[in-house]
Amino acid sequence: MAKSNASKNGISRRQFLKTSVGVISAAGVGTLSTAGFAQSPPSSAARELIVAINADPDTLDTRTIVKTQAMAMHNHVCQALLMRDPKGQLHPWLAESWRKTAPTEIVFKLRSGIKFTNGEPLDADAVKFTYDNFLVKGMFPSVSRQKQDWIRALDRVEVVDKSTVRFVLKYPSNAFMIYVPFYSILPPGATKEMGDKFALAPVGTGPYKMGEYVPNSHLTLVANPDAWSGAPKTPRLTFRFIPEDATRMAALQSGEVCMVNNVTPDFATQLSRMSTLQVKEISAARSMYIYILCNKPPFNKREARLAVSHAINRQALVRDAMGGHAKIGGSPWSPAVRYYDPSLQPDSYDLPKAKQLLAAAGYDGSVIKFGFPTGMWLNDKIVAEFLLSSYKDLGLNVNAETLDFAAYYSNEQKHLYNLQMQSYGILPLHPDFWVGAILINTDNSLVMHDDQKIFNLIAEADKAPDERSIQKDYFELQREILDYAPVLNLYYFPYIVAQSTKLRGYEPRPDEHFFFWDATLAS
Amino acid sequence: MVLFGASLLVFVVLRVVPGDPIVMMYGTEVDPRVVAAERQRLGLDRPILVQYEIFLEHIVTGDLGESLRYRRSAAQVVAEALPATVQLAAAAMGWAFILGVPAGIFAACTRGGLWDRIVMVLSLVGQCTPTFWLGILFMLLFAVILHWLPTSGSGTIKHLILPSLTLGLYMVALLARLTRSCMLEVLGQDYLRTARAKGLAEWVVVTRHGFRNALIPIVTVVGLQTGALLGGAIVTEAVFAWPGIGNLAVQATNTRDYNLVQAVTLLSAVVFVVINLAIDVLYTYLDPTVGYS
Repeated sequence: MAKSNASKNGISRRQFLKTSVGVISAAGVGTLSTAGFAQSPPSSAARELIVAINADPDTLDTRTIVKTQAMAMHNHVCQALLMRDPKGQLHPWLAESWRKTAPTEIVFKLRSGIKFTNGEPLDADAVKFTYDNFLVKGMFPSVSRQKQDWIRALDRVEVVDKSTVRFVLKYPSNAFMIYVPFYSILPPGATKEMGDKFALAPVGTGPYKMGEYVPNSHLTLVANPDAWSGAPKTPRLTFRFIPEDATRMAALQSGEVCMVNNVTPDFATQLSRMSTLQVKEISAARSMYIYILCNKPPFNKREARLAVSHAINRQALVRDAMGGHAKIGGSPWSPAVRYYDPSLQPDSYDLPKAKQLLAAAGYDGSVIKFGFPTGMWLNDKIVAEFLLSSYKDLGLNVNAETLDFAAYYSNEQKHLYNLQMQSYGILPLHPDFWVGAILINTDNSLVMHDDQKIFNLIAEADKAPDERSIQKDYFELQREILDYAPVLNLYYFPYIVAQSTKLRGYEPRPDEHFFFWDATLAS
Repeated sequence: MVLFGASLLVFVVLRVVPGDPIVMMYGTEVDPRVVAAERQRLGLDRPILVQYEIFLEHIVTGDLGESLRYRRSAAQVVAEALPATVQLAAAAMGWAFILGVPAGIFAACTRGGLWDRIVMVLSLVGQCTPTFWLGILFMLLFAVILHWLPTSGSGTIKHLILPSLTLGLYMVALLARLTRSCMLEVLGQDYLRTARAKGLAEWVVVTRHGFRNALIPIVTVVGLQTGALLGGAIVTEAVFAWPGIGNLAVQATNTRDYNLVQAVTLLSAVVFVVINLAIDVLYTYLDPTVGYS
């Protein structure tokens, strides 16, 4: 018989091994049965909608949200004074009316009787509190700088009475109003009490209230029965975060979700063959551009910029790189954006003319730096390769640099590139959002042009006294941008979604927002 | 030493790689003075050695900084996601033992036969197949076509099956080949011939006497492969939308969320070191001739 190798007081090898196997097995079973960290909710056709979104919101606090999808999800719980429709027109939301009482003053009248889900009243103090977070330095250190910049025209918010607020601007600005829908009203008490936790479980006035948010997994909202706008048609709404395109499409095909956003053209073709699914494609408010650095040779000459424009075959680009799913036009912004001029035509593809223009500009063969990020936008790498081929045909000596977006973002601020390929989504569906960011020269500006007419038209449009004048200014601005060419529009992006044929009450929007409070899933 | 090396490597690499976390956080349209102020507030304008010194001081107190993206403690963000990855890796390892080891034993016992060849071919295919492709294939077959399992997500055993199988298949193949190899070496030993001569059943000879001695190299490889599992989890988690640290690491890297990347790397290194330490301790019980002074 083998001797036991246990000492008098120690544990034998056999005992240790048995104990270890037992402990590991128990831990394994315990681990496998643990479900506390993330629960994918059950699907119940009529009482719940489950949709798959390609991005996690990261935060649900209006003070830090800037991503489109995050804002869309957030707006099911939290609401702003105004809401924007798919055509970019503003409508009353928490504010029942508004009027301009002076060139720099706008007065909002709030709806009465609305309460946040924690019982706090929606009143003028809550509105002032919300905007002070952006205006008062140090009040909320983590506030989004981008959102502070959007309302740079706002000087202060004044409480007139419980249901009336006055917004006082630093200067007259028509464009200021387009940003109001981005600022959901915060409940002062809950915001202060919850601190950092507010970003994961916000309190609002919307048709839904927070159920559960598990980062990188899902966000579940449940109906707010006391909502002033009425309870939503489906009591439970879940957003599942599935960044991988193939996985998101598979979830739709298997019936786990009833809608997916950001469908690529390849998948659109595949999904449209399924009788249980419907693919919807609209023109998004997003365009692909070439930004041209206008304060360095050779592109300080207009002829050189136009040469690049005429060297690009936009129809072939859309056909070959985008599978025919994009649109082209002469306006720098898409038809989904307000004040779009449909009469404008893009520069024609004319390589001999392009070469003549380049020669007239005196191009000496010096190196042109072309930068583009990859992995950010639909087929961006293929588009960039197409452009490189066009530049080569034109005779430009191009040094191309591609980086991941984080690295590219840093470089673009240093004005390292003569030409840059970038996309821009005009979320408020108003051109000021883009012209203010791209065509006003600041240290960050990507184009650094010197066309005084463009500066004047932007300023005039912002101060124009009525809609007709605003349209006139923006139409003229579009013609000037096309003529002066500091920026070249390549195409307007499609926005493609796919959904179950049983889904009712949802339509895709050009600003890529999605709202489901009127949506139902037919049984 | 391992932890120190990991902390130094990830710290330096993050700061050398192009990309500004402040610009990523606030966008390119923000005032550069604001960017400069934020950089100063977060200490990113200091010399890299000073930053590392501060980083080490904070680690000692358990402070891994605040995630720039989530605006919360980076350690907390990682701690919330870590159980998901541990669960996935443990399940993958489970598949490896349940499928790989018996397959290897069976192949060794039927050496040269049809089943031996089948097992070896399958294990070769398993080691050569890319995880991403395999995951999508499993998803299409078992979720979209057969509707047996969910495509993605987490929370139930059913959600765990496909991602863990995808992640674990490489280990299944590896362990099958390794087990076969180790068993072949052991099966020819004199003491097993003695055991057979004593009249013991073949399965007792193979499992109780043979397999136990083949276990040491298998355990060694399992320990070493833990790191590979944690790394491979990144792809699997992306394919199956599994809310673990792999997904977190990818997003943190893309947005240059320094503190979060550092937290993920350090905590992963800790897990790796702990597992290998456990394996080293296990040796002394598996093989009494092994000792540590």
